[in-house]
Amino acid sequence: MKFSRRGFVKFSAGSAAGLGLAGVSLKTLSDLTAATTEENYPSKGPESFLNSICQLCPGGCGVTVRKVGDRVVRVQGNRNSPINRGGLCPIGVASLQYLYHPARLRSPLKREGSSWTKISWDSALGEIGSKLSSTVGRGEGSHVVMLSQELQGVLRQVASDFLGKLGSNNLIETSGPGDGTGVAVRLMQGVQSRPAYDLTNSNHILCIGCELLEGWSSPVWVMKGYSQFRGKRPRGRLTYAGSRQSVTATKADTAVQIRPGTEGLLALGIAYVLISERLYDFEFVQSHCQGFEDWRDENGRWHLGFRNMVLERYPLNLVSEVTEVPTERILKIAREFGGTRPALALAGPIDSVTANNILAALSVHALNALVGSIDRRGGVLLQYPDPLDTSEPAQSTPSFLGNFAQLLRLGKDPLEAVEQAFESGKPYLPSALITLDADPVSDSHDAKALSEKFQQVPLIVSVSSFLTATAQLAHYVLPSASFLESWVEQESPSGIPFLYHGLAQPATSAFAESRATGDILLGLTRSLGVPVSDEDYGALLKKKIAGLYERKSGAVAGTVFDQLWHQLMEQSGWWAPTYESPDQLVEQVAAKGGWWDSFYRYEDWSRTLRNPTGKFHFSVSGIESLVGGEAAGQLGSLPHFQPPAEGPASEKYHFLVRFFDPLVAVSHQPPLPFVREIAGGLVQNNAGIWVEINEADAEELGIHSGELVWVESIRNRLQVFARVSTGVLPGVVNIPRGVSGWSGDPWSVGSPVASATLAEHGADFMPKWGETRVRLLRS
Amino acid sequence: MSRWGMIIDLDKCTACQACVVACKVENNIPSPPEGEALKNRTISWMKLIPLRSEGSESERTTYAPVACQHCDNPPCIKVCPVDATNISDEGIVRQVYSRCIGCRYCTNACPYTVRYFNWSAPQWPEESKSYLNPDVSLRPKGVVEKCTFCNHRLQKAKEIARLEERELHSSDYVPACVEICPADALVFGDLEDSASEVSQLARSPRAFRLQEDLGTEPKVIYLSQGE
Repeated sequence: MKFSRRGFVKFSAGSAAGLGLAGVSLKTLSDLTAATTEENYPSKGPESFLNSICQLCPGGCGVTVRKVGDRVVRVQGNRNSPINRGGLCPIGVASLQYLYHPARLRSPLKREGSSWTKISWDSALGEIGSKLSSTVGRGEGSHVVMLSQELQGVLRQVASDFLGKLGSNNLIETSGPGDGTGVAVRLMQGVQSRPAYDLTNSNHILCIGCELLEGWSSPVWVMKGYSQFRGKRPRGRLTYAGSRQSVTATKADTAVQIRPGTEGLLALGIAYVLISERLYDFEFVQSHCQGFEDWRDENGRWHLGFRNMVLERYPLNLVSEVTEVPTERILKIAREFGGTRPALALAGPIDSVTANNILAALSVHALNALVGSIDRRGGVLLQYPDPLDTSEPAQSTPSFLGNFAQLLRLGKDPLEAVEQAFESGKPYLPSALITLDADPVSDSHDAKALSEKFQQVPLIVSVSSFLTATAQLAHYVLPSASFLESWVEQESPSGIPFLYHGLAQPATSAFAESRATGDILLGLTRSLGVPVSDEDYGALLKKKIAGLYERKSGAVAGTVFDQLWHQLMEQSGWWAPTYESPDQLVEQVAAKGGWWDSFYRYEDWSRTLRNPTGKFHFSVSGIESLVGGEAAGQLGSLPHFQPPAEGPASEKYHFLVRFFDPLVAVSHQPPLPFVREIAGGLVQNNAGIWVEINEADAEELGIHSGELVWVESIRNRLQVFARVSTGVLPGVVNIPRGVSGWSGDPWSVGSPVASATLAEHGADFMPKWGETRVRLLRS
Repeated sequence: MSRWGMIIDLDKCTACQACVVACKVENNIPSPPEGEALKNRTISWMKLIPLRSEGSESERTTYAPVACQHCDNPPCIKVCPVDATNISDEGIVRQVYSRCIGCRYCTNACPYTVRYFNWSAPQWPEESKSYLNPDVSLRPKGVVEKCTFCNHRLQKAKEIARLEERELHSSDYVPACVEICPADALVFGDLEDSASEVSQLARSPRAFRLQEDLGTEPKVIYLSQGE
């Protein structure tokens, strides 16, 4: 491969520009003296290292902090953590800016009119407790709602215990849209557990709409796996099909651009080739699948099978015409995918629960069944339940969500259900709202509407490190400590194929008066005046982890060598723990950053195929109403193609907008300055939100890379930077979903821009992510 | 004598920019106010740039992290009038802030545009000064700075080896970007040692250097994406 010098110069010129001529005076020398004086150096002290677990996204990376005296001066990956093995993503590295952010809240705040008053913890908890108690007294305790980011074990337990004392079951974790493959696994395999992906053992990964390298699953674990996948011999091959030239696309061996919304159809086209050229796994399909061939149910009714549906309805010329991918390329992709085992197909996220999206996820997962990659080495696996958490999460549906909770199992973003419930006011408006390190207002696609609804809630308590958009609406704000200042528990993050349970002690003392979220929740529970244990959050965590002692398997996290040694021992029937008592176990787990068990039993069909037939189902039940009921006829339950309901191209709004989530957007926290810098790093050092436009479209409109343009939809108009690229389809623009800066950030200028506010609404008030149209105007 | 070099394997790199942020944290590079960024005055010793490649299938873009290439024949040191930048015996292109007069000849001479001028004194909010690394000096307004291969880590590693009365091992010294890379795409070591991973990878058929035709002889060696 050759790099053209012209291309290099063209792209790197941006950083050289601006270094023109300017006077250099003797003042430089005096500045030099000023900068090197003692006062500019922070205090020094002995160097030490401690382990913690990053909580800025659900990825669960182990981190090692370097301390100089009391100060934390570096956060790097923990080499012992089986999740990230010493690597770390840019957000984890930048977590120092979270810890030492000038906008951190110092003490509990109480709203008085339009201003804030500092109050003590005792008064804050006392006042909140008595208000909540009187809410219960009025019989509205069950209407208390708690919105949080994704919670872990004890914290989830403490939160639901607190709500339970009020008589409420409204613990809602706003975990974002579901992973398409995960939804398909649940529907087609009849299981509840989360899937895991055997990336390193796979020889071919086919991403259809899945942005593998941009925050999918546990991001650093994926990158480590990707590195091994590329480094092994034979080298793993990556194929990408999607509508945007993303990082994953640029890293793929074969990348094809397809019309937005035709991901599922492409998967069916690939299935057509696998079936017609007999490249599928005969044995697996015959023994472990149901609904591949035409079949009759117990009433004698005939049903169309997947094979005949694909052969009759999705010939390559049709697929090629709609997806805009040449027939030869589909053939090439399908032959490579079918011919390189083990192979793994991954679907994109379910950003809205539409027939098009769900069917696409099912069609992609059908490819995994066709190549026999279900619960086999290099395929889609199923996570084991956490050894310390026997309860299934979300056993009961929060009553606040009412009917809006129906689509959660299909991957609907819980925050959207919350917005719908607020918008409709049914079944009720909350009697009190508590937010736990979550900022639903900033994350909302309609911050204005949600803020107005929040203002009708009689009591809002926001547990937060910053005065976020949500906290600004609260009556009380309780300052939470960062993960580096708290005890941390971490369960297996989504996607990883081994059991992990992490525990870490605080790496440094809490900032000002802030407290760990777990301790704040325990304090709130005690403020209700009901009997609760007087143990603190750290003590509860240690008690729980001690339970691992009884398991008699697995090991304390260690180096790669320790891991191999341990595996060898276990395979030979030995288990030699490094600890002799539960206390010793807890001590070691906290020091090293976790406990894990790498054991995985492949082809354990009775565990991973839990449909009544014990098989993988090509035809699924429970999606009929979504895909059109009787009208869909025999296709109803099969993964077929339904075109996206994109709005008609109008005179005014002629660009279809695709929202995407870059890696820097995986964190649920306010953007940190270092992270904002690199988000714009690909746009000539301009921080913030950008819009990607096709080269020819840009030329027609007279738009140049790096200039500010207006993006206008029927709902809103935003000023963002343009990025002109050949990697964008004509008639389509791409915009990262997210917010540029926030009002508490001293580094950002101007008001924050939230790209999600462009999205058009459906009749159900939900954003139509894939269907919004915009126009571009030069500033 | 060691000759330090770095491999950047574009087949493993996921363009996540953890190296970019790790470098800023390690080397006390402040986050500029947004206005400065808009004037292209951001300092980023390591940065990600798009590279257009002429592959067999079609022209495509990929991304590559680029920092000082630590050339064996560096154009920057030839133009410095005050010897503020020079090359060490171990091949590290150094920058001596106290000598720099801010003429910026070097920034213009560098074909990789990886030298940065301090248009203003570095600034941190009072609270954020707590994470400053005591091992790296702060630069004043008016001087040029760039990647040092985390030279301070080399000095520290040498001190430790001396105190422990042993030779310096290659693994004792790793720059911050290499240490953090979540995809193990960055490898660092001694190019003189033919058994080291870097020298072995440098001999790979995938190895190339940026703008090789200029004769700068960089010690940052890229491995192209693909087989």
